[in-house]
Amino acid sequence: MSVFTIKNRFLDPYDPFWICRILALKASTAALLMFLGHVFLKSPAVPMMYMLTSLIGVIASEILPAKSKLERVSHLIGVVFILSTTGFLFGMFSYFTLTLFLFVVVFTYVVLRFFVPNTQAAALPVLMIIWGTIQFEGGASTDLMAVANSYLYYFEFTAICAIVVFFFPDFTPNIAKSAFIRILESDVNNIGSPKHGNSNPAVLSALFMLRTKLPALPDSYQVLYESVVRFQNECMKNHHLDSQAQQLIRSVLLTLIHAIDRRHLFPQNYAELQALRTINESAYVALERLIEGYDKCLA
Amino acid sequence: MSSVATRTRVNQITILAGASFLFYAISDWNESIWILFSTLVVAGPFSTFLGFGKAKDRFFGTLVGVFIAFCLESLLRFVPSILPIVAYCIAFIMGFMVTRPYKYFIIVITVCVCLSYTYMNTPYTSFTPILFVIDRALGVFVGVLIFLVFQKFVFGTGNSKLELLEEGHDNLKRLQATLQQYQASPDLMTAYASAENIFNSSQQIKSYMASAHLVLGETNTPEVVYAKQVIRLNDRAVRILIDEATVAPEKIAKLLHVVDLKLER
Repeated sequence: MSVFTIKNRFLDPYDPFWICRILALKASTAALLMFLGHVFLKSPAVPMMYMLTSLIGVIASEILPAKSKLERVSHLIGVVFILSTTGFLFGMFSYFTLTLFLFVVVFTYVVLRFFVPNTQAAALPVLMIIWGTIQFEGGASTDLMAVANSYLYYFEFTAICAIVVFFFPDFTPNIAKSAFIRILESDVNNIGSPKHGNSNPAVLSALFMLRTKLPALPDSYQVLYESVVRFQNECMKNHHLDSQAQQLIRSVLLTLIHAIDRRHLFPQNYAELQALRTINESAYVALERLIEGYDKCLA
Repeated sequence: MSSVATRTRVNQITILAGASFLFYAISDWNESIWILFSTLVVAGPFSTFLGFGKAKDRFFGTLVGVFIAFCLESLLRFVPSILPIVAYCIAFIMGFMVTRPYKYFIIVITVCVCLSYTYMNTPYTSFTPILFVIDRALGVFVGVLIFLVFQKFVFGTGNSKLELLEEGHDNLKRLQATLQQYQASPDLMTAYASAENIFNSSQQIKSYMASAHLVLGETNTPEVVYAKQVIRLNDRAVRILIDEATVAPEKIAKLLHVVDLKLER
């Protein structure tokens, strides 16, 4: 079991949809490259602030919705530019306490009014204000030469991070597969339970995650999503399945979870699936369609 | 165009930022910058309801974070060559925690900021780590206190109630739009997509309600009752759409009528 496997019993309770793992892998790769870069770059000040700002840019590039890698890189550059400029502005006003006080009040008001209607960038204004205030203690650039020098240094670290963002593998299929596994696990645990329904938050949040990732995935995932919906509709709200059918469906779903985790196709002529056909044709058809949907995603 | 509650909240956060900045600038405390950070971070989620929950998480998360930072700083004092490994691990954990609940995230951020500060500013003596830990904990405590005092005694609960009402109203409008969309094409895929959207859009008001008792003190105000009704309508819509054997169009029409009436009132 490694951090790259789709199903990980230590990480899944904290990261059910693989999102935290992608962010962690990306952030640590960027950190590693920045440490290596730092060996060769001459820092004008302690590089912690430059590294942290670039790292926030990397994380933001993954969190903000983007259609292409170029758009992700532009988010990275945008966030680093906004944060670094905020820092410089606070530094330039830090000569007198009164001007700084007035600047903090006006800046807070303006960025909050400007950014709050935009829900995607809701976290940015407070981050900007905090980043500005950090400069008071972290050696702010207080003249234009120092600002230009620091901008160049930010540019060097941002270039390193842009390489990470651009060449980092696309793990979006893992998010979809994790969401699929979460639905199947919930079904395995609750099949036959009269209290269970599709309105269960675990199922709904996984379905929502799967659907929101569809635009970034191949068309085969759309087929998978539709087959999941049909299966949930056929089998998971019909609590009149007899115990034998429930047992067979549970066994098939467990095998399917195992296949997804191992990135294998579902085994051909699986005995339990054939047995289900003889006792409940409609459940068999829904399950067969579900397996077919998954197999198409692997092809 | 922002709502009335949003504009009022912008003014409130600006006043909070100014007051905590004055505390930082006027006090003779070396590490008073933590007060400014804490007040801004706690007020950061923008909503008063989320801010109260965050204040509690921030205080406990900071205590755990400073303790871990103290252990790491002590370790690095004896084995400074492992700094890149520690920094790499922190970067990994920080990436992992960024979308997790706030109390976990603040633990990692505290460790991160404490270690950065140690290397940026602080002369390294035997007592530096423990003094820094105490300073940070006190700074956060005062920052959270400023937030709570302003929120309770200066700003009051008027805007919070308005915020809850506006969120409830916006949520009902989204529910109305989603149900109308379903009525326009009542098939299986639309039923599930509508249920997922309703579930997702009701998360905000549910998180407001989770800390309503902290903000408003009492749980039977008209705004809270209204928010509870909105949540019930959302849950009912989800159940009708995806839990019942077949989606009955008349049930959806009846629910939509209730939503319309609520919005008119």
